[in-house]
Amino acid sequence: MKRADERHRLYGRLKGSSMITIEHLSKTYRKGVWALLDISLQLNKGMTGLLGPNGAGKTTLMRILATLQEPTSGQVSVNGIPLSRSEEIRSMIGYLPQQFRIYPQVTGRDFLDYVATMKGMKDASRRRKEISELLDLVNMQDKADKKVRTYSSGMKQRIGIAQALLGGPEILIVDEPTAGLDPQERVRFRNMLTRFSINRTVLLSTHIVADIESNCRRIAVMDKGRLVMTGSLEELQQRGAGLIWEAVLDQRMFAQADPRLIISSKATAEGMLCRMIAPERPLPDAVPVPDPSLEEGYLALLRGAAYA
Amino acid sequence: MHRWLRHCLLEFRLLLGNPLFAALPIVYGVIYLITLKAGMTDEINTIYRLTIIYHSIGHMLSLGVAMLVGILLIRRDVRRPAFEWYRSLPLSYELQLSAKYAVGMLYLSFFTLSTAVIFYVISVGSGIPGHIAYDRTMDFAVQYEVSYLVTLALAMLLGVSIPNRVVYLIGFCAWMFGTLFMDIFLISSSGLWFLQTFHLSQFFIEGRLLEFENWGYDLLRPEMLLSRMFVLAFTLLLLSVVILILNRLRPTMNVRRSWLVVIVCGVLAVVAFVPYGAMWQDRYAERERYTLGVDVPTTDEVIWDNRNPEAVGFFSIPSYDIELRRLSDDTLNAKVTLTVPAEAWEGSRYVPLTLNRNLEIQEVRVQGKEAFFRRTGEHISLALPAGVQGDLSIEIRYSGKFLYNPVLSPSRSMFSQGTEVNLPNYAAWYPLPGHQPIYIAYGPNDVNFGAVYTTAGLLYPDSQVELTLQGYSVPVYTGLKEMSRQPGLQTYSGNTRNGVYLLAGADWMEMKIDDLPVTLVTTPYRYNDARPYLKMFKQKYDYFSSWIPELRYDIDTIVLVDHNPIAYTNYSVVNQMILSPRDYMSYAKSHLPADWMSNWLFGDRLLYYPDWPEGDVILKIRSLFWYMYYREVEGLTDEDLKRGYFGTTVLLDELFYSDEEYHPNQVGLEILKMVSKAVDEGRGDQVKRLLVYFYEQEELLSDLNGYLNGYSGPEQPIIPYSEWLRQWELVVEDGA
Repeated sequence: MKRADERHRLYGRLKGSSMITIEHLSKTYRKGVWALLDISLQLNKGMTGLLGPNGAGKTTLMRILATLQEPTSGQVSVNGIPLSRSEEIRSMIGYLPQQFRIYPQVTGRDFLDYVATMKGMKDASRRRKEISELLDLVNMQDKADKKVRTYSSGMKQRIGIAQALLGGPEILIVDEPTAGLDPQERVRFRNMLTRFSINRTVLLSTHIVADIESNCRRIAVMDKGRLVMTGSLEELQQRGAGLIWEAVLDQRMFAQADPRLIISSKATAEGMLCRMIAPERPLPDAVPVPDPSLEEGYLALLRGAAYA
Repeated sequence: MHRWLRHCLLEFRLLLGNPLFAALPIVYGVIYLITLKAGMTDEINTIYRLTIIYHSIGHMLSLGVAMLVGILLIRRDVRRPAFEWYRSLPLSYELQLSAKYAVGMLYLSFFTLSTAVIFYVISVGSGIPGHIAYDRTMDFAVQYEVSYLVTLALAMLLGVSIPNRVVYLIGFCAWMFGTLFMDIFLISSSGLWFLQTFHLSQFFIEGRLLEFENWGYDLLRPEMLLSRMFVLAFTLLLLSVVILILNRLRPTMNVRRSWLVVIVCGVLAVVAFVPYGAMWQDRYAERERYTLGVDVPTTDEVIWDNRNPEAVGFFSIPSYDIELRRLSDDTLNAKVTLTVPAEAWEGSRYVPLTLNRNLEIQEVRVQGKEAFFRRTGEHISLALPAGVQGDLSIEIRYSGKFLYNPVLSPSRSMFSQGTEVNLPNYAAWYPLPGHQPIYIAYGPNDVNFGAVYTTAGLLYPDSQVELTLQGYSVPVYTGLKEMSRQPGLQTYSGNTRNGVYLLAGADWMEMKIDDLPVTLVTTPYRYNDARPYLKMFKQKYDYFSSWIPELRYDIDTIVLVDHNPIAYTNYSVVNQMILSPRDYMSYAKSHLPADWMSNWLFGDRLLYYPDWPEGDVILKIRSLFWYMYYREVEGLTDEDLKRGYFGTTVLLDELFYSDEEYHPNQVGLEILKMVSKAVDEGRGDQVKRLLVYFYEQEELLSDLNGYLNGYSGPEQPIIPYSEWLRQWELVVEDGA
């Protein structure tokens, strides 16, 4: 049995070092709503950003990968191990759910010690050392011995990140991890993930483009349960080419403009400097933007279906 | 194991981290302590009884805590979306659930512990032997734990089955249904006794048999064992279903295994239910035998005839030789040899006998010859073999079981089960002469001992009885003189006028005091309370025996017990034994010494009856014995007595408070005046001589209860007022 497992893992590694392989994955809920529809994706080492609007199916996908949910159809294997052997997968992953709460009666350090023990770290001194390092990493060392009930939501989130990282999992699945973090912590967290993703697989789900802009090598974009794109940041950025326009609008025109058209605006002395998304020139004065941002590429991708 | 322990530690901290939960077991113990303290001011109570009463309410309430804890243990993290990180840990649900369950049980055990420790300490502190206190404590503790085990498992099942907050409401309903509703409406009112095992607590509020120290736990132990086996198997089933539901919520390799465990536990629960169900099947079948069986007369048919010797074919049996052997499975094997004088059977081809239908006759021999018999219910018609003559010696071998059966009316309880024995004389557990009605049908499903309602019960021959009992590990009390007592073997001998009553129970204790020829038998938690009453009784005995030359009843045993099947009959005195069941509805136990003395003096406790005809002064003369006692020993005046000092009211009402409707001439007051004046004048000894004179007359000691309850029989004996006056003149006035 052990030998078979080894063969399986080896096969997984040989297959393009793919840590997570998703094939034709679908998930439907009781009322017949398809949360995921025929998703196929390979996630290799390094950090992958999973982008998508609310309700796109990101959390469902992550829950399936975290072995919390059965897919309706399709295959998932993690490091060559199929989802049916979920117990083995769980020992390889760290997971931070979108909503994260912990027991208010315990201290942060106690909680992490509990999680570390549950992850199989028997050696108390090793546990203490690793917990201390993680607390440093998430900047919670000075609050670690206070009860969780005294923590702000950002602090709890940082403890959540620490628990996901405990034990050095081969795969890290984090769902909207920066929610509730202040800008300074957000930056710190991004850097931390980047460091962590070296030689590991990290799947970062977010609807905030900035979260993945500086860290992810690859991205996957989901919309309405479908995978609408996989590729590099540049590829996503290029999706906006020819679709993003810039124009200065006076107050009256700005008020009358189709709000779906305008993706950003900035007040200037001449009027409102607006960036718009449209397949054709939306206004006579509008000029094409030569280098659309990642966010604009993302929005263009999501709107793409409508323009097709 | 390391992870399991760490998980337990966390769960325990979370549970006790809630101040309410941390305080509850302590509060529970404190309330128990207060209940004991408050309850012990009532002299009728014992620590044991108060504890059972507290448990019946308190334990039920603590099961509500168990329900809440069980739901909270699950809802805290297992099914909350914000705790998905918890479910992503490499932990099996088996580990998580077992840790939660263990912690829940540990917490709930604090409730058990708080009451158990208090009960044990107070018991031992009040003089209860340590081993008995320990046994009772363990009885309670095990009962607590079993109830918590199943309640917690049920709560956890609700917690995983119902993800939203309505689970608390459902849990509340389950708790109420599983305790109060089931207790009051399903079990007690509807008589669905077999549902008892589904009751979350076994300390029932209605019909608490456990309240009685005698024939409580020890009688119910076999049933409880079967019930607990089922409950534990059912608990495993609940837990296995919990695991299955959880394993179906997330991908796992264990679903098939979970299904297998559920099936195995389901089969186990069914198998465990089989002996329990079979026990109840037997019990209901026993009721069927009575309600649908043959030869159970109705009240109309029997009440007027059951004391008529001719109507029932009663005849004398001068001697019985009874050998009763109890086997380990509670089967009773009996060999009874009885003699029938020639004049009782001559001219007849059959001898009618009465024997309880639970007993199956194996063989009958008359004068050593095998005899045939016909049997209908309790009634046996024994065909006399050809050629027999003279006094008959009839040998009957029979066997059967008397197991406790709550389906039958509690008052019809008769059992010989392990150490617990209550085989009343009116159950006809040995052959009685004639075709007498043991049972009477009061309705389609209501059959009871005739003795219970007609009060006098059956007719018993005046017989010399030799009784040998084997196989009982405890002393059995019979009302006959005990000749020898060895482990498992007791012999008795004596003359009986009202049958043989077998009584025994585990841990019953005997008490004697110097110069009192009586042994008091009681239960451990009554023991210390009973000692002062036995001393008070001795004071009364010393007084009456000092001027009554011969007490007519030869009493050597008083059995003071709580449970009351015998209380419904007026067989206060069975041969040499006073049965003194303490029904908690009756008056205070400080009356016991006077009760016992009245029993000893007169054979019953009847000293006052409002409708007693004025033409008969029997009750008034009986009351005068007590009047003399209170005047001479207690030094009370007529005024004190009239005001009912020292609980004397009932003893003397016949003198002080004669009903004017029935006693227009106020004969009681007239007699009182005469006696009071004589005592004041120093003629108390003459009065006592007069009382001794009447005491030696049959009328004063006749069975007055029989007349009150209207069965037919000899005419009511009467001592007319004129006879009182005549003897007063002769003994008191002239004697002065």
